[in-house]
Amino acid sequence: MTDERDVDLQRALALSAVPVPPEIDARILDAAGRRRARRRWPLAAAGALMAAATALFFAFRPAPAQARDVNHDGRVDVLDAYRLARAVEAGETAPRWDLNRDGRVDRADVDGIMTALVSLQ
Amino acid sequence: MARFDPDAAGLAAAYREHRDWVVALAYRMTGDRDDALDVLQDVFLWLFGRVPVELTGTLRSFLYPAIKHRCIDRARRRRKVVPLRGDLELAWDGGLEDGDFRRLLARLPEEQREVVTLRFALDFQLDEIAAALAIPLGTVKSRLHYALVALRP
Repeated sequence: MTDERDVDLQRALALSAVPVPPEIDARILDAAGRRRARRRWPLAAAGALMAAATALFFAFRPAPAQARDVNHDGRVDVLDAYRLARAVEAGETAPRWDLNRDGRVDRADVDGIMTALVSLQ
Repeated sequence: MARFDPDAAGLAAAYREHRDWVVALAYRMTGDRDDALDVLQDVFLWLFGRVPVELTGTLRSFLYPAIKHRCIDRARRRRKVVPLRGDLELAWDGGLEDGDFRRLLARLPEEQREVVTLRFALDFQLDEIAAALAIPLGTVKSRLHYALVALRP
């Protein structure tokens, strides 16, 4: 592609150099550094959010099936819900009855068992 | 398709590598040094704000439309140039010496002048021109061919 005419064209069209003042260089290079820093914080925030979500999940996760077997007969069934309901009525406050780990022994713990019973999983 | 996602040092290196032709091209297009320096800043701040980007060609073919559109905006704002054919209002002659060649170049249709400038002033490869202008490679070749025929003494 390069012949004499091309060389003439290149010479004729050569761009004139435009000096760039150092303050403009500095401004743009500073922006390059700041841009990279800005791109890091969303990653850090996402990491922190993920850690918090994980901690919340483990703090409030549903009671495992073993914990719901309150009458210790090897099964989780309506009898466990009944046994727990009796405990709630009796005003039991021992942590072992607090299946949903919300700090209280109440109807919500019984509901947890019933929900697990009717779950399709 | 290449991903452009450098760290701060890479962005600075990209700036240093492309600075001179960006500002020179902006000067060619606007005919005004202050406008050219403004375009230089605008283009790189825009680039830094966009990374990571997927490049269909080279970085300079990615930058070219951004430079061109900013030059058109500035030329229109300052109303310093004579409108050419179509809706482009680029000067395209910043830093060019007066003479026969300039007159010949001015007679070319805008789209041919643009291809000639990219090829011979910026040494773009044909596929880079195609990527920069978002046109098929065959169109680049035909525009260049007709431009060279028109420029032939």
